[in-house]
Amino acid sequence: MNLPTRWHPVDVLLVEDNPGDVRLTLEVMKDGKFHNHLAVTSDGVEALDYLHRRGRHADAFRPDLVLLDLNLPRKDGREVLTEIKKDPELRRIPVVVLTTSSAEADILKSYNLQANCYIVKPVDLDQFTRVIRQIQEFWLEIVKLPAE
Amino acid sequence: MAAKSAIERSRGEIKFRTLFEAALDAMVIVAKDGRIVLVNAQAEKLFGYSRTELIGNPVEMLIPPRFRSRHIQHRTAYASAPKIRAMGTGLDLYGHRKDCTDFPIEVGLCPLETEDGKLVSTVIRDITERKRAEETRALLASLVTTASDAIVSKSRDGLILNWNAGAERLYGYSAQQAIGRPFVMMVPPRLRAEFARMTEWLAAGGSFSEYETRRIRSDGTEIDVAVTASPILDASGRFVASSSITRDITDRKRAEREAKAHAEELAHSNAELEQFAYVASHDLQEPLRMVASYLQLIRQRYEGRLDADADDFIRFAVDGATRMKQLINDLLSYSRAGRVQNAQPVNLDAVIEHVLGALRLRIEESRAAITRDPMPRVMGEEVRLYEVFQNLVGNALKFNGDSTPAIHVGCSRKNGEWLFSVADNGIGIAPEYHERIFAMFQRLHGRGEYPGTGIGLAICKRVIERHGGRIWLESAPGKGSVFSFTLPAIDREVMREPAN
Repeated sequence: MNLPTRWHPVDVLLVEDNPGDVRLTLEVMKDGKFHNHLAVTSDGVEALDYLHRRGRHADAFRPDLVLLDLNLPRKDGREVLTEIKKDPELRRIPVVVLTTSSAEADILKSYNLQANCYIVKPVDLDQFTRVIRQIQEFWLEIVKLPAE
Repeated sequence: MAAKSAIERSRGEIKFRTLFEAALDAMVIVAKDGRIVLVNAQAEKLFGYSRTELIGNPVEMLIPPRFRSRHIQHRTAYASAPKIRAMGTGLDLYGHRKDCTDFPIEVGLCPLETEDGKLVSTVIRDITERKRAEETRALLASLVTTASDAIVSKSRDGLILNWNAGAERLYGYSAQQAIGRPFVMMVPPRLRAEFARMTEWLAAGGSFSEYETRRIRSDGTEIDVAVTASPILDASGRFVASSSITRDITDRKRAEREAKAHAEELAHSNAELEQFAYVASHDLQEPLRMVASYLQLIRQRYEGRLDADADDFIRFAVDGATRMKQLINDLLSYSRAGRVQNAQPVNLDAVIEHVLGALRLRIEESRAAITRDPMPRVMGEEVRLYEVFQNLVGNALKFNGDSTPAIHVGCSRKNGEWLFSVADNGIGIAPEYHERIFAMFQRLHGRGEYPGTGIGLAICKRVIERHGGRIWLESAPGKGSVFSFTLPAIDREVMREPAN
């Protein structure tokens, strides 16, 4: 049996309004070797509540990684990204923009807002699986992040 | 006594001769019977006769034949009551040269009492130049009067001095209403500062031409005009007045505005259409991704665990979704192909190099022989031109039947443009399809035979046309295909390498 590479389950916050995508991400992660805990918020306002531990997310863990969709209800991904990177408490959390948009304007804007990387969701399931695995491997295993 | 008077007479004669010859005008002295007695050098020159040809002959030889008989009557009448007649009075008169040409003259007459009897001294002045100047002035005056443009002159203090019919039509004021009034009343209040500056400019000796501004008509409507104006200076160079020619360009301006609005509208609707195609194909990806991904997930987890039919159905569904994905991607590429946003010099040699690099595996697998001409630089968007060559060379590799592909990428200069060609020895295309293959999603073969969605050539056509070129095809089944396209050539200035 594969042991988790960290002693506690890693927290990943997925900000995604499409339940199909949420489930697909869950299914792919379930088949992998990483036993991270995946928290899901379906719009920008809730994502920020989660990160700031407000309201019903008062007991939330601070995530080690945020997977952020750009087009979200109420408050979109660009605004969420702006707030995260402005906040001295939150700005060290890596944010991976994971979106269907391949528009040059979105890519440029995201990096200008200090996104840690930008990934276009592949249409093909095998490729999507590979992308999720690689995100996990890179951001949760290879990368050295500052201790809290 | 007699000797003295003879001497005095001869002195007087010398004085007279000198004056006579020195006169600026032609002089002809005629006897009572109309015979020429004396002429001066000016007369010889004017009429083209030597004095020996003239003296003793009737003066009518210097008059156009059609006036001669009338002249004899006049001369006879004059002889009975001779008096001094100054120049510039009476009828238009004409002289007749030895070479039979006529010319306008002015004539002054003076009776002379001499020992030889009554003579008439005739002073003749050629007024050809003056007549011509008068005619020119009359022509100019009629031009001013009949001109459709407003021709106006203004005094130094801006009062209207002249006002032609064109000005009456343009501004709606009659000459009577306008002359003496300040011109500034034709200038819209908001443009009066500009008008003052223009007036100062004229006063300083400046002029301007086709200056576009606006003026007010007598009925209060504003019109677009083009003004050409210059100062009128007196002999000492002082500004005394100005003149202007003003043309109504309201219609032209309106046409310009309409054309501009039309172009903007067109650009807007084009941009909207492109945006639509982009958004539509982009937003289509989202649900499609769900369909394709979950079908794949079902297949991964349940293939072989349901019955054979279910496996077939899943495979068809996955195939359909995959093809749909490809079509949407192609639609996106096609919509992007319509934009040439950053045209800059593109080194096509480098582009071909990249294309051949990207196709290397297929080239090696098919053992294709590829030859190419040296490529120029053209203006365009590199990525789009890359797509064109990739599609054309890719097609040449693909549609080759069983033979080993031999492909030539050619380039030549023709009539200010570049002519490119991609020639292959492949299966060829029947003439009836030569137009159709450039349309979107047109395929000539079954999917099993040659894969593809049929977007490649449509993209090529769109890119080439957006770059100002044309694309066409020469081919016959079994004879290979030559795809040709043109691109505008750029001059050396643009081709020069940037200094860095």
